[in-house]
Amino acid sequence: MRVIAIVSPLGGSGRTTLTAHLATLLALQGQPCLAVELCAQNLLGRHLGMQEPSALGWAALAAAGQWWADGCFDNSDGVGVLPFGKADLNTLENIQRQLQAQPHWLQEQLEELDVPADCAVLLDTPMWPSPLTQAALRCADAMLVTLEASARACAHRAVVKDMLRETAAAPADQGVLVTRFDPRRISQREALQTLRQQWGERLIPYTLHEDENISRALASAMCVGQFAPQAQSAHDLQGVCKWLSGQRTAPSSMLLAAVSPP
Amino acid sequence: MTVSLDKPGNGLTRPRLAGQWLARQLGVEPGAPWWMWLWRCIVLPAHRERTLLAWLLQPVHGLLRAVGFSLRWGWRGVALLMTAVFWPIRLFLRAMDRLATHVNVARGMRLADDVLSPVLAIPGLRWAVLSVGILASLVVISTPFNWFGQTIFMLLCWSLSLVLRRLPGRYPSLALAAISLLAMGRYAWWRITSSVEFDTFIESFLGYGLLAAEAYTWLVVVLGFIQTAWPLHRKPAPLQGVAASWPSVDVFIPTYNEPLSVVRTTVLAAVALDWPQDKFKVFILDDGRREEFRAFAESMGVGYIVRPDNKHAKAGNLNHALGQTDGELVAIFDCDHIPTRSFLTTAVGWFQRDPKCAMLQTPHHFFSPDPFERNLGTFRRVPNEGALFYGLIQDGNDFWNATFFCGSCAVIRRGPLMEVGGIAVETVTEDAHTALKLHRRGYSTAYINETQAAGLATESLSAHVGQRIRWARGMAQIFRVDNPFLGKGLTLWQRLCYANAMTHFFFGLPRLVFLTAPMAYLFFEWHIINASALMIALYVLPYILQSNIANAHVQGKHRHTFWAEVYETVLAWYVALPTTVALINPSLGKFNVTAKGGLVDEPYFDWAISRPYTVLVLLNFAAFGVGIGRLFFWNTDETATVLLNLLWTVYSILMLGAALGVASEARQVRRMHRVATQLQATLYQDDGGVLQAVCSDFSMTGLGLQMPAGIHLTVGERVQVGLWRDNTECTFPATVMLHRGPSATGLQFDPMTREQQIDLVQCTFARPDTWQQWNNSHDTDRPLHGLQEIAQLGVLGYRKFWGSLVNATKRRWTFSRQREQKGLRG
Repeated sequence: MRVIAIVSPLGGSGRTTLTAHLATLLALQGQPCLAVELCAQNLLGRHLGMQEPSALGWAALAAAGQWWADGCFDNSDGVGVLPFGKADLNTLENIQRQLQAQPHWLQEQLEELDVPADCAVLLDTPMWPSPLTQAALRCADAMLVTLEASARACAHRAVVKDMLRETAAAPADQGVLVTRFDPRRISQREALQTLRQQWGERLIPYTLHEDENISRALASAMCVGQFAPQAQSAHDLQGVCKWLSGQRTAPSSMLLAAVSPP
Repeated sequence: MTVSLDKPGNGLTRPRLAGQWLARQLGVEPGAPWWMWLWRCIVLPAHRERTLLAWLLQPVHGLLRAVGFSLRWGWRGVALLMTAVFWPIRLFLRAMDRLATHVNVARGMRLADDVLSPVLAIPGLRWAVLSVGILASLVVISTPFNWFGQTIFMLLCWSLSLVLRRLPGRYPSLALAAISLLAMGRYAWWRITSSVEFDTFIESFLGYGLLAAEAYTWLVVVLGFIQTAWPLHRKPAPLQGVAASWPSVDVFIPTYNEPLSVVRTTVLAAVALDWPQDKFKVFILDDGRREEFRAFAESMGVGYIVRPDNKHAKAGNLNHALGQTDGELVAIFDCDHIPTRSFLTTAVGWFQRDPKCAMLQTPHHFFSPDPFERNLGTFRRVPNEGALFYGLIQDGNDFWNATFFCGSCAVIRRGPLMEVGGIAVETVTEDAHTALKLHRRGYSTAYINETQAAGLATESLSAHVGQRIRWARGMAQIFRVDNPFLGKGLTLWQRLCYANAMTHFFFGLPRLVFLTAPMAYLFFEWHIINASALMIALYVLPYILQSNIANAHVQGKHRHTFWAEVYETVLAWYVALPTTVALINPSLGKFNVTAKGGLVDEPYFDWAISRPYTVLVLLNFAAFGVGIGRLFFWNTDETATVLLNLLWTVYSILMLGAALGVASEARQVRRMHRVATQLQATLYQDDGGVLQAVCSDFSMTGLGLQMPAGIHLTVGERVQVGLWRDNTECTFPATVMLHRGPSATGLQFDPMTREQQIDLVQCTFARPDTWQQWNNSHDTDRPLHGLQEIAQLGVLGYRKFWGSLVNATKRRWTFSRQREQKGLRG
């Protein structure tokens, strides 16, 4: 089992989108895959093919002291999804209390899951700082920090450093991904340069473009790779997936083959 | 009754039967009047296919078919015969190739390194070895052989070189060159000692003329082998120290009459060179003194230098700018040579490493086809005229510390340059002359064969010829006013390299001699080589064979076999006169600027420039016709001589055909030449969608995109295109202009800001790797195949020439008719 945490100190930087897409891409490659939503927004199911936000989820079950994975379902791409489910303030409080009492609660729960040994578990986390994100970081084998190319992302350098200190993932498996990138905006291009200087090797060589196709794919409850395979964002996501599976070569964004005959 | 039945074919009935048959054939009804027969025969046949003419021609048709048939089979028979004859040769070639695989090259190299190098390092020994070698080869060259001996010599040389040519490395190249020099030496010796006894004055005049022309080629071959004996292949030296300690650089972009659209790209690339911002300045040196340029320079924040006069053209322009600036190094780009951003970081390292280094040259690279490539359709397939110089000769020069300055894409150290009085102004090839002066002062020069800038090739043949005339004139001038063999400061080898560069441009006259030499015999029966055809063949053949094998091995990547002939044939007439005049009086003639950025709107045939070739072609054809007469009727006693001359004429005719092909200008579609490429691109649509695409070609005004299947862009749609500059994505506004195919789309850029323009140049022309693999697309050199291709080009040239001739005649005819009609009306 390989646990991948998708985290961010910024809201709206595409954590859930990324989780859903990575899970689908991995599943389509034949990799057993489970996407767990730790975020109370309860939107992951929607990204992975559910028409309605699921009422049933692990949060209510865990708060009631029951086996948490009963709300799990498989979608048509073969991705296992464990949604957060509907949860009121009481439930959230219960979970938080549980985490305080048992810091390794999440890890134990994950280990008890009945999944294949080579399964990838993707954790969609709430915005940092949060106890659930902290728990996710502690049991992660790999982590992706999503940041948009903006001044506020650049200003969060110290916060992200804190997150990296929390995680159990090896430094080589800690990546910073720039999302929602639009190079037409100068501010974004400049922010990307700053982020590149800040994060150096940690920055994943692929940037996820801001692409209308992603929103349209979500509206049709599809993955962008299926909705519009020619979209730039589909290629970017493929690149991130490759990076996760260990192919760390730079993208072919430079030259495909220097110059071929006309 | 029985009589008539038995003998229907006697005198009376046979014509009648024939008459009936004919009537049936013609469809003449029985009893028709006599004129009906005539009518049916000629004017109105009963059936279309029964016209008398066609009917009468039927046997002719059959005859033609039979002839065609026999010719076809005859050709096949000849081909079969040829195959049979060449079969043992091919077998032999293959055996030699196999033999070559048994040679232990690595061990040989080790031996050479371990034993030869230390021995040769003993002072004086190199010269001793060289003298012994020259003495020995003189013995080989001057030993007389009869035909049998010469045949054996030829065969041995040939077998040896067939094995050697398959071996990698430089020693085999040197050995091949040595063998080829031996074969040439034997030919030269024989030619001088036993083929120049003439009967009449005119024969001896022409004979010695031909000998002189040949002697010139021998000289060029010898010098050429020395020049390219050991190409240095210098690598860029890494920069030393921190960026703040790097030398300061002035970038000069001289211009005179080129349009701003051409100069703009170069300036945009120059301002973004990889170099500390406070350590380099860009200057436009405008000899046209144009307000537009001044405003542009100001908007770009680059220097703008003008001078009151245009004395000494480009050289004067540069010298004037040298007086106004103070950078430690000077980088010079012709206004249409777009530097890649790594230019300075590649070039300057050697100035730090070698304090004596005064000049570093990089290749001139052209991303548009020159007239040869465009009109013959050989772009990026056959190495062009400059490929040999920048691919091999400059690297060879570099070994002897004799790299020339080529006027552009080079860096010069200011100190030494000022020491020799700035750029030379005495000759029209100021660049080579400046380098010569630097070498005389004991400075060294360097060459890096990495394309770090690219530009436009000359547009039309006339412009190309004009440029070559200037070079040829300038070289001849240097030969006169500052002869590399005279004066102080040069090593022997530098003198030889310069001498070759200059003598190379005297090819005009000898080439014309070769194109006309066989006519002396074919027209007038003058024997200008006094030897039997067999002996000529026995000496010429090994010479030609060996030099072709050696050349293919040494320079095959940079110049295909026989292509030098094509290039020289086209230019011969035009450089012959200027070089001769410049030799006699170096100050005659004037400087002309090479036109760039023009456009050939309509395909046309350049009559003016091809006139000398038309004359030569007509003469050669006439000579060929006369030769056929000599072969069958008048000179049946010297068939071999006639055949040799005919063969020579056919070769000339083919070369001239290729020259005519070059003069037939193909149409150029674009004002801005688009560079074919494969770059990843991103397409931003107005609705927010972002698509991945591949940029298949680019220019400063637009680009071509290959879209994934199923994507349809509407013409007129406004989009943004993202291209990459290292890891930075830059976007450019563009409009979809046309669909070139199912997935190929042409876009035109919308107006852009200064930053966007700089980014665009950086994403395209100025990429360090843009030109790197450009030359890999060349076909490999296969000499015989090359000859065949040139023959085809020659035939094609004649076809184009004929077509243009017919068109021109037609146009003239209609024109005169129109005039007549007008005249009538008037």
